[in-house]
Amino acid sequence: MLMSAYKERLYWHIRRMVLVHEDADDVLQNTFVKIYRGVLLFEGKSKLYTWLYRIATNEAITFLQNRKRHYSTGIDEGDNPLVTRLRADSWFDGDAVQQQLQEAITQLPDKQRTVFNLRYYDEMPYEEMSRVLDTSVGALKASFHHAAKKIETYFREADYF
Amino acid sequence: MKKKDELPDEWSEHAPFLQTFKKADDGFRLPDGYFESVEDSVFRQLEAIGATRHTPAPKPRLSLWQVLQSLWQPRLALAFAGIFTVALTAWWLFRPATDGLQAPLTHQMVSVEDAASYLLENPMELEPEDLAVVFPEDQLPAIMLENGASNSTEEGIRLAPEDLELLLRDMTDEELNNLHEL
Repeated sequence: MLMSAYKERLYWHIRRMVLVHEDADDVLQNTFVKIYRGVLLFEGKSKLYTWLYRIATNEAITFLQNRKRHYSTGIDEGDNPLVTRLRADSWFDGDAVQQQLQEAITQLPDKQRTVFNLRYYDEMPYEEMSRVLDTSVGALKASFHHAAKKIETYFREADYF
Repeated sequence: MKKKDELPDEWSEHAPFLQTFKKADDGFRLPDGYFESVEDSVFRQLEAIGATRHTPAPKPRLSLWQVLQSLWQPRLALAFAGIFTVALTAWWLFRPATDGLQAPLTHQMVSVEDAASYLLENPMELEPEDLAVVFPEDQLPAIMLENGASNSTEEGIRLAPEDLELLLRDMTDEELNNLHEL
């Protein structure tokens, strides 16, 4: 069945985008609702796996943008709201390095963060990623390179190296 | 294209520290049995959406012509035509050979007694040669005379001894008794 086959992969993809389990749960459920409602529109031009990833990615980015709008209207704008939520998440117990890595990743623009996560965590080939994000392979490679450099800089500024 | 195996090379080229982080536990956890329960949650949402958004609309009544038009598919019609042609050809090739005539009556359809009585009642419908097979030799001249088909009233048709023997062998006991009385 569709959901049984892909729920774990999609969950972890979404989780690394939104970081907090409750948010990932909401986004995953919305993703599958959209998948089931739109499955008849799937034209078979791409792999099902690619199509599912595209929906999950779009859903996660939309969620993050809504969050940003929500927090930008708040009083406390000093801290990164995603990082704040991650620290408060009871389903995250990463060490200081992992926490810092997530903080560094959240500094990236949404698209660049998606490219970084798909490559770094999901180890998705660039050709496959190109179909998911509708972007050329060259642009994706450059995006990943820039993301890696930004993260490295973040760690350097934090005196990790 | 760089495959998964080549990923560490890519990382060591661009950002060697990432390779070190990848080996460590990333710290993300999730509740026990989460993946089992999430399916139910999704289907509950789908049912809720379906109940509110899909109000059953009355189906329009279709005329017979519209139904036939919906069933009409060129591929289906071609398939049926092909099957019909093959069946017709097979019937034509393997039909029973009758040579344009009716099949002869078999023994099962007409009993010997019925055939004999018919022949005795309708001797004029048969040729003298046919009658010679069933009638005794001494009766044949009289029939020939009535029929007027032959000028020879004295001789009639002579049967060979072998034919006569065969004829006698095929006759029933009753016929033999009748023959004896004559």
